[in-house]
Amino acid sequence: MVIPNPLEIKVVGRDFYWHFIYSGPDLILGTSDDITVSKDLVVPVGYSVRLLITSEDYIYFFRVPDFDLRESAIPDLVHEIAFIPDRIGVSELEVDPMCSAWAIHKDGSMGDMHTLSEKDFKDWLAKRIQGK
Amino acid sequence: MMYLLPVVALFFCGGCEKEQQNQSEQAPPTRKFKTPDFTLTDQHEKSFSSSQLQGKPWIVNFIFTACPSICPEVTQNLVRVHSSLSKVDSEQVTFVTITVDPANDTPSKLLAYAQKWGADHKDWKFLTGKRDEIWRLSKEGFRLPVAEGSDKDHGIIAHSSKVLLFQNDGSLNAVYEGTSEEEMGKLTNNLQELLSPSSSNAEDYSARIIVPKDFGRTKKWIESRQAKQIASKDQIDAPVNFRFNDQQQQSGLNFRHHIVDCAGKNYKAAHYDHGNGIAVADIDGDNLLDVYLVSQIGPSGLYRNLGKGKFADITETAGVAAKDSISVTASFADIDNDGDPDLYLTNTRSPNQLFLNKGDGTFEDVSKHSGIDYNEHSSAAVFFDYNNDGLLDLFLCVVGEFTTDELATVEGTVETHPIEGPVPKYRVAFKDAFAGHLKPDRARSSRLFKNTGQGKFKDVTEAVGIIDKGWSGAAMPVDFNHDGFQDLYVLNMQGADSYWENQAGKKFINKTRELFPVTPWGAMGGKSFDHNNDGHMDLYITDMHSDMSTVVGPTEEKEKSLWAVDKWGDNYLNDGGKRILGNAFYQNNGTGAFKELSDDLNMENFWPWGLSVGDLNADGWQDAFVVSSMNYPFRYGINTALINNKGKGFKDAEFILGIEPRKDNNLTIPWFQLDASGADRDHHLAKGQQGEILVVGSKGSRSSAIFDLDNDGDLDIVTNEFGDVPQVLISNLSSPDRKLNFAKIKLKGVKSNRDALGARVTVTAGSLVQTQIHDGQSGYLSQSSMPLYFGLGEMTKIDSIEIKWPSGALTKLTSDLKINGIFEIIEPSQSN
Repeated sequence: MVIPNPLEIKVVGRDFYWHFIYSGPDLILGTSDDITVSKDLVVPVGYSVRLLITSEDYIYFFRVPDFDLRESAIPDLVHEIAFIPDRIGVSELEVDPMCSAWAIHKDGSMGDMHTLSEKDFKDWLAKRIQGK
Repeated sequence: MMYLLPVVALFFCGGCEKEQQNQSEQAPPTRKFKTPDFTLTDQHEKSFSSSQLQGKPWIVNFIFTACPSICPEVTQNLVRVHSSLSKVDSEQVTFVTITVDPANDTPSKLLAYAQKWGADHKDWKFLTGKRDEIWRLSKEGFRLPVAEGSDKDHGIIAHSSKVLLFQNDGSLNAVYEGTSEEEMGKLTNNLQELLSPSSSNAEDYSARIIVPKDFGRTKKWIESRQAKQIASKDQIDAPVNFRFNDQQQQSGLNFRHHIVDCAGKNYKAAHYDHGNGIAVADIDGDNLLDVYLVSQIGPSGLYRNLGKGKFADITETAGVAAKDSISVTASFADIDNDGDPDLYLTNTRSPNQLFLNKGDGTFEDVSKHSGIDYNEHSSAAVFFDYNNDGLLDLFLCVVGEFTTDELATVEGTVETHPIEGPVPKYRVAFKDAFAGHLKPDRARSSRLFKNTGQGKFKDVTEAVGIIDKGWSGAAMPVDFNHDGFQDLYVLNMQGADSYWENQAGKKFINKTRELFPVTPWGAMGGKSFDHNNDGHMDLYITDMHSDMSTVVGPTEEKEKSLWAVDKWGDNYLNDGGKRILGNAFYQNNGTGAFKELSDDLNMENFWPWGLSVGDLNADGWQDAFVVSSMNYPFRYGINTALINNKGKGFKDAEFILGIEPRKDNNLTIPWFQLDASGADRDHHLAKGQQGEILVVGSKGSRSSAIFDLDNDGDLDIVTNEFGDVPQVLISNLSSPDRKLNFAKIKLKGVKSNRDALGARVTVTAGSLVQTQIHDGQSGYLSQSSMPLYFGLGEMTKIDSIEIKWPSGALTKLTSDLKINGIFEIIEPSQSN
């Protein structure tokens, strides 16, 4: 299992949840072996991570206050942010307050970001690939 | 048990007979008093019996057509009660008026009487029959006295002026004095309660869901703010010892605004929730200001001012219901210089409409040939004379493309307040409508139309170079460089505003950053006025969209939304960083430069749409009323009254003045119903519910107009509410024990445009010197045709009135300037 560096992850807002798309074994994002997980973002510590952020319906704002990350998710547009997670742990993906989402959001949470060790991340991704 | 009849004495009163009650002996009505049986003949010679009244509320009174005083008074009062009911409501109640003089009152006479007083409605029966039967019915059936009058030879009949209200089960609900306006107000309220019990009766639904869930917290905030503001009353130098009272129910302004589902049941963050305008003008030349209220869907309403704070719905006869459109707002302006205000309506995805006033308060739709039947996402329509040719031109603000091509039917109504049909379909909004400013293909340029005369306009947008693709809801005509040609400040609700300098009526040049280095990011409304009486026009801009960036608590409402940068990021704001994240107040220093002083002057507030400016306390300093709040699915936001503290800044006074909290402290409104067990089971609010549920949201205003509604000398406020009836806030500033000094000025252009829009008026009264620009900008989205109002404070004498007309002509009046009246000033035919 090889982790691309930088690791590109497509972040898609849809139906008031985040959906995260990782490249599959071919290490190319946008191909048929891509892996999609919903709600929680998982990243490896110490790797350069590039988030390609968009939406398939409403406007969302992707925010991880612990890492000072913020970007808008807009249909048909892709906004990019890059960072290097420097510590293992769980960070909140802050609830989107734009206009409607906070009031009618399904359960008040857009999910979490889990930063794993390199080994744990590889195990996590391998399970997703196997389970596909 | 017998109904105990109030003890009454009959006395002669102005040619008619009226009953006088002995209050101490009056017995309360009992609901065991049932509708008596009768069969009479109506004004159309058809038989009418009491059995036809079963199952719905009805009212009854007695008159005779020859009655010279009391009967007409009661009839007029009942006409107002009838007009205060919505069309749907009025069809559910029957008015019954019975003559006590059947020998003279034939059906044809009764019909003529009904027509004379505007009571000729199919649900209003005027009945006659045999005298003996009717008198017995009055005395024994309704327990109302009737007798030969003291002036029998002249046909006077003594009878009761009471009005009886019966409820659905045929039992008596209440008795009212028909000559009392106060009692008639109570009758109206009671009728509406009988007709709409489910609006306040949660038992009719299996569940009642208030959105947001923590609405109770909002009420606590408001109570806290109310107490704090009232405690700070002594810090206001300006007079605030007066109050406003919402008299909507008594006024006859029974208009109800309706929304599309994108702002309700299928809510999404889109520009439909920006709401609709209100425009004011004297449409029929009776010197009373009439009101046009715009509904998003369903008929808009034109209400004729009857005087004394009463209105009648004349929408249908005037021909301006515009019920086939998804409407935005209205502007009154005399586009053909014939001396009466014409009406222009803007719409979403259907052609805008121009109605020419025929001079009698009825209108002709000339849209198709006008050249301004623009069909896109229109917003405010600003009439001004950009080239000083004496004809009013039109700057049409155009929002970008925020709707898809998908057509939908409104489903999310409340059954007690249905939309009067047939209801048009609307275009569903984009789910990402509020990212439209990031998508160049959705941008549209606002349009400038030149008035070429004969009711026709020509699009000159490109020809004069005013290519403005900001997402614009409104614009303000100004003349900041004093060259006699009106410039434009164009708002952008999602990005930087634009200031366009008029080059002698030939070109417009964008000089935004030269005058305004930073502008509000989410500008929604604005108004140019002179806040400190220095003779220079300042500019107040309200910013709504910056306030959408996070959940704001009450202590943060007076702060700029600086968190928007963190919450949204620069990619979304997309304005190069030259921004104010909140309201702006540009003070004009008179040398062509402005200083932004919104925080210094206390001009920040929360969720503002737009504002109306007027001297609410008549002290000679212009105040501002900012309509605010967002309705479902958000918490309630207060409207803001900013009282000008004699040029030293503004003080919050909405609680002190009785504007907030709203009447009966009611901050919520039924928003839509859901069939949780059926068609709506997948709606997110239907989760875990069964049966019919009622979803309740926050109340909220969208637009307002400040004017002297009842001609008592002080300024009143009427709002257009989102999904609700208007607020009719009547001021008690003018009262017998309070001396009020003011002047109203009505201009008539001759060489200039007939409305004299663009005229500069200066009134000098001792040390008090006030200047106003007549721009027609009356409130969010809207333009009105009204006299200018100058409060004079303690000044009891006007020294001069000076007018600079758009043509360049000057007028200076220094004699016979009596206060507390209206000056009608005509432009001199030759320029000075």
